[in-house]
Amino acid sequence: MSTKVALVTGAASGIGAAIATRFKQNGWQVASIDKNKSNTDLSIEADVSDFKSVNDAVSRIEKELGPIEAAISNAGHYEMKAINDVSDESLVRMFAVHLGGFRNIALSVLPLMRVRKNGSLICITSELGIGGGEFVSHYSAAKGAQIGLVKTLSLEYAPFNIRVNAVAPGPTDTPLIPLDSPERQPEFLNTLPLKRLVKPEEISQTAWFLANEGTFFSGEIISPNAGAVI
Amino acid sequence: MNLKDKVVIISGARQGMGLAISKRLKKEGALLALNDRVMDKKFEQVCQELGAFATPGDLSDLKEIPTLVKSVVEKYGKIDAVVAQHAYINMGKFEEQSSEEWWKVVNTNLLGTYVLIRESIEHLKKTKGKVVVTSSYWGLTGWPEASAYASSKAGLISLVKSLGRELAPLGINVNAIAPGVINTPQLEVDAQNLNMSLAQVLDMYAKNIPLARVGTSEEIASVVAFLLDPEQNAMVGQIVNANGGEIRSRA
Repeated sequence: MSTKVALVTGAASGIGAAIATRFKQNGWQVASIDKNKSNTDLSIEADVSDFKSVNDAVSRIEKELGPIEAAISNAGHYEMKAINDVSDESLVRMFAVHLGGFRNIALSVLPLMRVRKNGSLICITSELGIGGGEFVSHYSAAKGAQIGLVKTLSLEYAPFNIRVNAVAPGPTDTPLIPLDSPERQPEFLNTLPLKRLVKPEEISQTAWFLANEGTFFSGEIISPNAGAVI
Repeated sequence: MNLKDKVVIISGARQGMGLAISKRLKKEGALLALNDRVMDKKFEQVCQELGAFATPGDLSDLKEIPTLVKSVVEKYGKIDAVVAQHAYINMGKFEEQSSEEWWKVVNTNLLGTYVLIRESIEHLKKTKGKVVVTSSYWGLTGWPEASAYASSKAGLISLVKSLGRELAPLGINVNAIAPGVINTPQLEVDAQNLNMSLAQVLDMYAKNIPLARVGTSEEIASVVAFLLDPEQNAMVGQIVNANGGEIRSRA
């Protein structure tokens, strides 16, 4: 029996690292695409916004580890800024990484999964893509756009037994939220019904469920978000 | 996942999704208190096979529910989770359905669940427990000739959202599942009503589902297991859809 293979982008830290760890602990081989080196079976240092790098990486992963059964598009960055202070450059970068990064992964793995008539593509989006938020116009727009793409791809690829779904975390305890961020202050945490940040392990558990047991999920968004958006 | 010695009340456990949920949670190590409307041979057998405490009773009779919850606490000493899975459905044109039938659906599904949760809260506070309510995708989309059922299921969604907010600070997670079309004994009832074979009914439903098949009870049971996993506490007031892509995350 060959080991199952998962691709996780942004696996060097935070949520991506937690997802990679969980799949590894459960006996999968994990490959990562990240700008930094990750603790995975095959760590490829590349920028997800560059299609060719992603496509080459996916080919290499399939050659070295085997067919990718689950691909988790997670790489991203976060920035709080009023809309008037968001430069065109910052806006374009936000969309290139989040929407473009997810699209590049989808473009690279879906044709392979379609031939095999099997696969799970999971996009890590955000509660801010559902409920919006203050000073995150570019981030929330990019995350919302991911959701639109998830739903459309789910329809296009369901006939090939490929499930495309999303996880929309709430504010999660990762390096994306700096230690001095207002999102770590009691005033903010008290606005969450759960009164605390989401743990990366709660997101990785959700991704694990979607990849393994969520076999009737298609075009869905699961929201482990501490009650941030209900 | 480990639910060893977690005490779980499951309503509507005699067949279909409730039965699959009971089997799955038993496998994960839970101690079961199972409810269904009446104690018959089949339900007795289910309880026996799963080593479960039987708490039969019609949950549309709200006055019975406190006694039911109390009996579970007397038996096991605590409650760790409530899975409100029971439902009653009666299809009919809005103008033609009698008030009695209409309210029976709402009473069973919505008020019965409401009181079951209300009576369990003081016990769930002690265990930092969880509630999983089975709604339905019809509660999100509505459905012709199912006005009572869709209303009751939509009401459950609002109830879960409110209680998610209200009870999370107390350490109780409340969430809902909204299944799409699932292969349960209800489909045989549909087949009879539509004068079709079960295979024809399965085909008919599959046509509207992107994954081109109806779901299985085990797939819904796995969602309950996901929500009850002690590692997962960030799900608060959420409606988890499992419908093969039919409605794509409306909540």
